[in-house]
Amino acid sequence: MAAVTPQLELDIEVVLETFALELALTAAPGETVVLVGPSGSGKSTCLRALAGLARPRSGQIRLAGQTVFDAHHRIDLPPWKRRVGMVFQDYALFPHLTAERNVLFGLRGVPDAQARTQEWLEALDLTDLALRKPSQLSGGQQQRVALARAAATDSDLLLLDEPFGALDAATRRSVRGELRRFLQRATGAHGGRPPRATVLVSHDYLDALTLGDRIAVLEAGRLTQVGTRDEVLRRPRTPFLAALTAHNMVEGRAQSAVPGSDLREIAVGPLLLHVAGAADLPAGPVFLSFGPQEVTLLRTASSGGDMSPRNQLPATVREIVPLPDRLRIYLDAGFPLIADVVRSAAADLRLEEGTRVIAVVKSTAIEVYC
Amino acid sequence: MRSAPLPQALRERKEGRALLWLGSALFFGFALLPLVALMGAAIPGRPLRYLADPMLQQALRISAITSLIATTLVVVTGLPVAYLLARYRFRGREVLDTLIDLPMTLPPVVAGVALLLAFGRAGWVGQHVDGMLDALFHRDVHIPLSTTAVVLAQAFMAAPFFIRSARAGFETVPLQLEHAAMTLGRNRWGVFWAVTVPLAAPALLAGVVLAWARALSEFGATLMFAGSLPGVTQTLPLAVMGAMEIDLDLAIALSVLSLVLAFGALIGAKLVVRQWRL
Repeated sequence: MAAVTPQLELDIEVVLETFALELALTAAPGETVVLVGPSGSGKSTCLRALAGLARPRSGQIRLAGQTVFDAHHRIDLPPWKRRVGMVFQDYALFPHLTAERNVLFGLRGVPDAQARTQEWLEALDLTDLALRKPSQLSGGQQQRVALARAAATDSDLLLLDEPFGALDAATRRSVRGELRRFLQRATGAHGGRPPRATVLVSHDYLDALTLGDRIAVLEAGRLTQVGTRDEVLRRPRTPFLAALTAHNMVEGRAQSAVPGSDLREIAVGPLLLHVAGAADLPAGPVFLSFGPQEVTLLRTASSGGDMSPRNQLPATVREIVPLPDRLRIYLDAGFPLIADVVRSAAADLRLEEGTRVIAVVKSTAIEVYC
Repeated sequence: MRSAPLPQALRERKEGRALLWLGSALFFGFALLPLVALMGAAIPGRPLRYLADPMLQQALRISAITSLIATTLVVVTGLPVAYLLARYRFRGREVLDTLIDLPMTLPPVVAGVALLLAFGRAGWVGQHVDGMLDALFHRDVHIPLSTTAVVLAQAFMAAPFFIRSARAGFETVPLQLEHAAMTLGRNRWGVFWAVTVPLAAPALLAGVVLAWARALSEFGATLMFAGSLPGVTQTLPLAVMGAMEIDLDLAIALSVLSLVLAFGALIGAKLVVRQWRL
């Protein structure tokens, strides 16, 4: 594959109150990268540094091939020279201007400002609200104005800070799909200009899954994982991500491969788990990952049937959370473990907090990676 | 059993409110009586004939011109100061803030003496400025006892009123909005005029009116620094003082005129601010 010049190249260190944010990231033209992480992990600071509103201590930022920040060469373009469109968490609409004038605000000196404004107002279904002031708009409508305002400019990069942060749950659901269509439109080629990249910040994993081409996980100022939606979903590398996806993620150590065997032994604390299809994995630290539906609970250890008898983990029930169609059981097996069981099975097992059970994971259901 | 304490609480609350009204009535009586007396003295109509009096007209003209120039001066020089105090944290900020407010508590006469010592013929600045002005205009110019002195005295006394109000106004403008404007391609200067000033407009306007009213009513510093020369430095308040020695009715006419101007300024400001908020 031919190398595409990244729309955004970022390698910065920003000093925050309690830790330093260290971050290297690229985004291709047309790509949406979702920066996801718990609150206080430095996500918003990263966006502010990209926009020129916060100054990194070191590093550089290149946008569409142009250096906008370089600590070593003392380059620090102010926000108004950076060609970055930003959607703020609480929208930051100008309260004294109508929706239309808010969008026009960023188009001073643009010949087709009026036409472009109408185009974006229409794209976001705001034509009828064009003459309203922000105080006369709902939260969702205000967000659409903020999106139109940022997208209408000639920016190389679009930044979205917690686009759902200020919306209630019902609005969130409807807006998520809307935002997805918006991003396709905003990041694609428009008006003959090259497509731009988007960096979206969220603490909500679902946002990342719905909107990101690539997902970058930020925890306490460090990137802990960067990958496609699929990679991050199936192979979470941190407990934070695993908990968000309700995925089991266990750190272990792969033992030396046994020649001729399809199974591989992975040490997890004092336990040995057997995993299928991992014969070529190098020995050493690995991650094990499996969905909560892959965990079966038994009252007593079993030795029969087609079950691999060795992947039996003694565990204690910590918490039972009802889901619409089943129960989610949080267990302690020396490490946190999540199991989804149907209600009838839970009743048969007489599960309650403190119950001691045997958790069984099929060797073929475990994904292992390093 | 539960219903018994309720009427008593209600009665207590009513008594409390009555007491509050009584206290307020005392104040209003005290504050309004002099104003009513002043209007009452003007009602026979006699003092109103003085509206055409040359002394009154001259004083009105000087007051109008000097107070407007002084207000403009205060706004132009005060805006950056107000923004600086509202947006930036720096060493000596508290000291600067206190110094700016000083003219509000300083006796105006003292301010007049200070101005005289600074800008007077033998003053720190005055001794240099006088020579420069003389060379520039080819005649003997000096600041004290001139209309310029009136403007300076008024601006000195009025500045804190504008700066305080403007600063409070700037502080209500979310920094986030200025940042948003910057990402939309406006530099700091553009952001200031397109976002900060319009959003702080009610407070700025209130500050302008307060400063103008203070300039209009300036007396002590003006008398000390500029004197009371009819047609040159005699503003409305100074004319009231001058008229008291000649003709009480003229003094009353001048006073009523001042009262009307002050009242009109307050009402006008309230109306404009209310309009802006909508």
